[in-house]
Amino acid sequence: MTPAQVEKLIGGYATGTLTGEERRALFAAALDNQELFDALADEEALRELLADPAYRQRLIRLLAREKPGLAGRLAGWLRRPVPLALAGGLAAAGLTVVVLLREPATTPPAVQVAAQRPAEQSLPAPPSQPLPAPASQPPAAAAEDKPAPAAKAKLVKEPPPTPDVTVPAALAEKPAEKKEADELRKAVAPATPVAPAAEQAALRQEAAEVADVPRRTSRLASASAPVAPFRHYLERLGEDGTYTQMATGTQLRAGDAVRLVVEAAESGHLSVVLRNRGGERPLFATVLAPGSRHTIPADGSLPSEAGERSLRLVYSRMRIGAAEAVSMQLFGRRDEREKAAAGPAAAPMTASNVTAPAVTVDIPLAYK
Amino acid sequence: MDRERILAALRERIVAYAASRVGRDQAEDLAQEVLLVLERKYAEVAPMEELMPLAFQILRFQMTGWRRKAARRGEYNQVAVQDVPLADLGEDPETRAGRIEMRERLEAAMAKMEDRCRELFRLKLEGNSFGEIQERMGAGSINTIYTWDSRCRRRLLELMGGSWR
Repeated sequence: MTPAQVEKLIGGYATGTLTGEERRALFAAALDNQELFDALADEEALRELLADPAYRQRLIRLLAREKPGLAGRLAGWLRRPVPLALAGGLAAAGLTVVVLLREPATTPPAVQVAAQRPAEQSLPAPPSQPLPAPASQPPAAAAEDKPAPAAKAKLVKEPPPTPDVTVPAALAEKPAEKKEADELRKAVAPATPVAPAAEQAALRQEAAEVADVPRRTSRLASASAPVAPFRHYLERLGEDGTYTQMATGTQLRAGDAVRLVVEAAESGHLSVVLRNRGGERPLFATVLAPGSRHTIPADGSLPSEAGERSLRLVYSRMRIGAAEAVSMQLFGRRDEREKAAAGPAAAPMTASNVTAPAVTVDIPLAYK
Repeated sequence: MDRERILAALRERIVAYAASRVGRDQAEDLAQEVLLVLERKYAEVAPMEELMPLAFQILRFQMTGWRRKAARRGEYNQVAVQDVPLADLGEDPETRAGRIEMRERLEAAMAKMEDRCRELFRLKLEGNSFGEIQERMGAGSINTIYTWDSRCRRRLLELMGGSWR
């Protein structure tokens, strides 16, 4: 046996494979070769391990088993926690992308919502300057916010609407819609914080902007489902001394006792302003709670002298938003009762959150 | 080769081996301890094929004990004598843990080996000699089996991270 052959025998030492002659040859070589001796001494740990019959049988069983194929190895890899977590994460991300891509297709077209709310256009616009587009507003959005004059004239010529108008939600519940609403809010919001001195001007601008809300709400509605945050209708005092809901298109006469009823479906801020040719007068401002019902005015009825006037309802879902901006401008600071009703989450009014999206509804009242 | 010459050669090899593993200072003592055990307890064992495995086994025990003692004596981690627990004559947890770890590594490495190596190793574990393995595997000569086995051992050692321990 050549020295090279003898060195190859080392593999048989730990397993006890060597015959007597092979062992003698290996050990004799190890006594002359330090490297081989060291390897044999190191092999002792393995030999000791394999000397355990139970473990030896276990290894034999392990080696007798077929090596798993490609599918088996892939399945084994997938059973580990990290690949499972990766696969789950990828699936969730894919699902999110699919949901986000499909969401806009389910929203109604903007024109339908605009047609539901012509009341805004039937009254003369407030004496305010046209709102310049904010610096951060993208050109496309700015163009969208300025309807063609012909289209606006057409809206003004439309017949008077029914007072009982369903108002689309400015904000939707779904996250995707909320995201779009947030984007819209960013597009409408000023690019830089407003200085305290300019805050009043910003509020006035916001109030003027509120008059132009249908366009915005149309855009919002095109990006979100039209869920009404509140329902409202007019009630008239009958001969029997009770108020009943007025039918659509009812002609009012001077002296009719009429009041407005608002039933909230969602929480938010609501203010009601009486508008006539002489100006505006605040009637009501409160924090809406879901399911609450409000009668405006709480006692008595709306002014009933002959002439044309309107009620402007400004709703904002934000704690401090366009509605509150209007109400604060008109009424001053909220009283303590409202603050208490608003709860601990009420945020201080700042220039940055004044621009929350709002919904306005104008209800024309024509007393003959 | 008679026992005396075998022991003399063994001493030289053990000193060199121990010097490379635990240092020259301890190598002489370790070799002396191994030979002392062989002389006292296995004085009747003369054949080289029996004496050598005994020497390897005793050397391993001596080195393990030396490492344990060195760790216990280390100045950096000296403790009061009353804090030193009584020695357990059985297998210590470290050795047990090391053996378990080695088993796991060995199984993992074997699972990754090529089919021929797995078959060869299995036949060896079943107690077959290289001659029998040659017949079972249909190799042309026993040298082929030696070569295969040598390569498989190197591969296994490589999969184990270069050391059996």
